[in-house]
Amino acid sequence: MQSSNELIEIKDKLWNGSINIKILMEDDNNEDPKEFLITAYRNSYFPIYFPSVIAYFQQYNERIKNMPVWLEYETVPIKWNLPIGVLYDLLHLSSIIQNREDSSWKLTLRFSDDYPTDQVIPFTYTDDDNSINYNRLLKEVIVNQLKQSCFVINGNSKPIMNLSEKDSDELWNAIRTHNLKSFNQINKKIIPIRKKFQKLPVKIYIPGSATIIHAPIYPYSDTGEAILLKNILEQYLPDLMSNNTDKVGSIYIHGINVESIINKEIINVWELFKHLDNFLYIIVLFSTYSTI
Amino acid sequence: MIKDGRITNCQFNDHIDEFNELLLQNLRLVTSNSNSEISDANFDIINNYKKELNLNTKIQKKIYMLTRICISGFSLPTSLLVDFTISYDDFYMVPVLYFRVFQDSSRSIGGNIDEAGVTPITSTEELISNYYSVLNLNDDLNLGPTITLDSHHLIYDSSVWFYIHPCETLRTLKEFMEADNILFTCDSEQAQVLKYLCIWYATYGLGGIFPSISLRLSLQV
Repeated sequence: MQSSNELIEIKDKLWNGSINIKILMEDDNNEDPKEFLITAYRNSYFPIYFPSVIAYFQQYNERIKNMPVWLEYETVPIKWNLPIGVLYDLLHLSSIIQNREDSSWKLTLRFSDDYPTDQVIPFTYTDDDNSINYNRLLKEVIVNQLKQSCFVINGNSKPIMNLSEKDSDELWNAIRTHNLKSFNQINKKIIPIRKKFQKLPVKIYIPGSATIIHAPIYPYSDTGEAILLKNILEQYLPDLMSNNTDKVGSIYIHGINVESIINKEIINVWELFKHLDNFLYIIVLFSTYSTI
Repeated sequence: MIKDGRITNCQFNDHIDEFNELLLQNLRLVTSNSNSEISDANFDIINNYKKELNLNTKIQKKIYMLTRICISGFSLPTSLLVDFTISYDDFYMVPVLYFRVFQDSSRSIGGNIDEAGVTPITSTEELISNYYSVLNLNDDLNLGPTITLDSHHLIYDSSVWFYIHPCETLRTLKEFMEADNILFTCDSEQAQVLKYLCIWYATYGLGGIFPSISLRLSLQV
């Protein structure tokens, strides 16, 4: 068990974990694509970066300011409503593990009348100058995620619904500016003390498949024993955890292989690794999709 | 039997077929507007199926029921296709509705749809401004707080759906179910779950959002 100082340091590192991303925009004049390099926080969302990306690219194409943009990875439109780190682990992690690509992520910026509304949530809000307001919809989406996790943890959404306007604004500003201290000050009003936890909100993704598992987890058994990360995986992914000696998959959280902490209590794993929407995202790479 | 005014995922799975039968037999377009142009609207169920997800877990299986309805009529700018799914949300412990709406300019009837003429409606404002009459909506209604666009919780690869946010559903349905005269001790579990789902449909299902697409039961549950 780590000391509290070590835990604070780990939480700090996870909060500030980031990814190098090269964003390409094709040129209307058939010149080489224009590039924009950013270091994006894993525990953040792409629309937060869109204004600065657009501010750079509009020197090459002014239309970009008034048209909703989206990002693509290998022609697949990216669902901006998931944390950047989760998207990276879902779409890119297996390529890195197989040494097919390096850790930087190359994405293409798109904007046209053919926004992929069937796959990506469209941005429908605009500002007075007709430019797209990315923050407003992102805020709605994150607040809904927070309501959902709050419901799972508390058995109702009252703690977040009862936040004052000032606290709500401060929470959103902390998310937008990626301020951990400020975020924690408000988030602790949503999360109760441990013994009042009802369930833990966990989502399990399997890259390469259409599987998403929404797992509300009781942190303790009926007899009061702590539930371990391993128990959750045995329950939800029995194939992964079979006693067969052949390794069938690997488990990642925040891009980190977490097999060494598989026997840790799920409540500790959740508390350490939860994202800013208070969900624990577990990514499972099955061997079919990786060479591990 | 229903406990604490809520149904479980298991009860949902066990009785969704019976509820679906009720839907197919009793879903009606009931416009309260006396406007004769509105009353010419036709209503068809053009698709309905159950999908069971193969998650291979030790937990309860996940099921959703998908239905496509078509509302057409000369008074409407185009035919309106509404896809909706009914499924059970493990986080909120209630049934949830996801729906998508499409304008069908090919004015298809009876399932013959030219996909090239189908365009999605992605804002509630657009939906309200064009179809408020036939859906019995107020033209100044703000659906924003209750309906948001989101990824479907069970259908990952077709992601964008309107979603009725269910953070109040558990509490509201519990109040309804625990009110007098709703459940009888002699009711079977099936009858209790069907009553629950009918009330859910009218409050947080399609009928709760579009009052004209109503579940008019001709038989007592």
